[in-house]
Amino acid sequence: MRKNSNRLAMPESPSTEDFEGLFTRHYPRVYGVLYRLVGRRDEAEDLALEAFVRLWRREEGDEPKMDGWLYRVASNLGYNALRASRRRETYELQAGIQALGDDAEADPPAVYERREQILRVRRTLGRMGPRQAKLLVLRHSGLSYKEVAGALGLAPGSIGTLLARAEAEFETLFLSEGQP
Amino acid sequence: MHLDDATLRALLDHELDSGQRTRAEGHLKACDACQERRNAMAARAARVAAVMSAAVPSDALSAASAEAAYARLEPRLTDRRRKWPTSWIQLRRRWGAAWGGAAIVLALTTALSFPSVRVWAGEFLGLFRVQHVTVLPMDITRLGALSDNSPLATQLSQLLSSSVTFTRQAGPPQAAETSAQASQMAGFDVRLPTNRTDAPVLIVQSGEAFDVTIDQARARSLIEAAGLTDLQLPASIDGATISIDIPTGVTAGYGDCPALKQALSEDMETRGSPGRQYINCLMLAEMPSPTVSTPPDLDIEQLAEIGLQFTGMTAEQAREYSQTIDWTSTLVIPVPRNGASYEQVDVDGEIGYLIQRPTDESPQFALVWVKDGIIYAIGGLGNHAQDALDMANSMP
Repeated sequence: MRKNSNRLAMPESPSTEDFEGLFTRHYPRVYGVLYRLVGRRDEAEDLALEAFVRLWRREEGDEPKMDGWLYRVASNLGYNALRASRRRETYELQAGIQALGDDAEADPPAVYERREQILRVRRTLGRMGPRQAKLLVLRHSGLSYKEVAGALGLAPGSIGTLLARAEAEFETLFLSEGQP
Repeated sequence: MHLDDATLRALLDHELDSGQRTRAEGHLKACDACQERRNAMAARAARVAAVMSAAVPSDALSAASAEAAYARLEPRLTDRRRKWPTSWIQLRRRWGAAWGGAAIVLALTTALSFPSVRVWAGEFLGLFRVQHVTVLPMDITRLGALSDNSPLATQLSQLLSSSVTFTRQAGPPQAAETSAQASQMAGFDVRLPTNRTDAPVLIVQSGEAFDVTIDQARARSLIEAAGLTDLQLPASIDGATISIDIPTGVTAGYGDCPALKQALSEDMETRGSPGRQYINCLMLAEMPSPTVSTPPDLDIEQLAEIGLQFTGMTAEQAREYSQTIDWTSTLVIPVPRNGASYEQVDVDGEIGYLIQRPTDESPQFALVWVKDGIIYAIGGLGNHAQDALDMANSMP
């Protein structure tokens, strides 16, 4: 067994059953992290599955600590997907279009507003530094300070300060996104 | 002494322990300045939270069904219990999804990556063999669409599965005691580094051979699904059969390499992660060049350009790059532009490439070169690339 016993702890060679339990516990939140970063259901699900596949294949000797590994990989995948696309505008437009389809009850102005909002949020996250963007998304996906710290390799005591800074940066950039 | 931002923000998030919270709240009651900062911080946090949550449709997260997702994931979990043939495949897998996607693309256009010495002239076939190695930096975003479960990947997989015929299947890996024994089993002269005094774990993995017959209509629909609508397939491709023969390879594991021992384990259930490889493990893989036979009228350069466009190049970029490569004798290794770095190195008297993937999750490296028709690769975790170079340069 691993020395660190936490929510992610599992036997050295987990059986499929162990892994399924772990998956069931963490999938919704991992998916949530990725959805917030990529803004598309299919993309978020693909990346979430990729994170779990990597966890499954993860090697004991790769890294001493299990804490936060899954969320680190997931947020890296999501952030890279957000940043990597050279056609981000198109990509984000697609995300907005999908959001339109997702929200069957919304009326057109509200849908338009939501699409704009999605575009602005993605653009803003894409302009932020990787650590700040990931920190913000992880926290808003419901991770505790300790979990966020584990995922980003930070001291739990530093999360409050960093989060406050990330929010300030997000707000400044978000508002500037709205400028013509 | 005022409260710092960390304390104020953690107080808002209920992340202070009871003692810290009591002290902070006590201070706040008596400090207008801190109250003001706390209120401003709370207001900003609420605004950001509102913006962030507004960008998530109400049903987007609740729609995340773990059960349905696990059903999609489960087929991908079988790898762990599979026997691992050689570290060749392992190395490729360990580079992650992008490399996997690259491998799929290469599978489609394998013919292109390999060789053109007409050892076996044949009236009908051109036969290619690897003589050089090069790297292809590529934008991997497009390959994301080829991740295991995407519709495009499914289509590609169906295309391949319906068109591949195995003419020789790989057998289970076999252990060898000495390099002489490994050489005898593999049918080529296995070379081991002289700078290592420890005895490696030696595994001989028999190769396989298969024919790929191309169905132009299916290839066409795949290309359209990939969004490459302006891409033209040469008429000569329809019904063309490409024969690929992968010879027996040998892997030598130095250090603590449980992956190799596990690969030899007959007991599937007690075997751990087959991909497991410890930080001090260096794996040297050797294999004679695979041979790829293609019909003589197949326009290799044109096919190469198609493959390159799959990786995200424009038609023009693909044409330019394609013209710089001798597709008939060069093994082309795709390297994600943003995910890995590479450098050309002098190794074992040849020109090779050192590819490094310096992620914080698990840094990896691979040193690849070709000498006298044998492809060599040394791979490992961590930042021990120099060890790999020293090892390679001590080969007899």
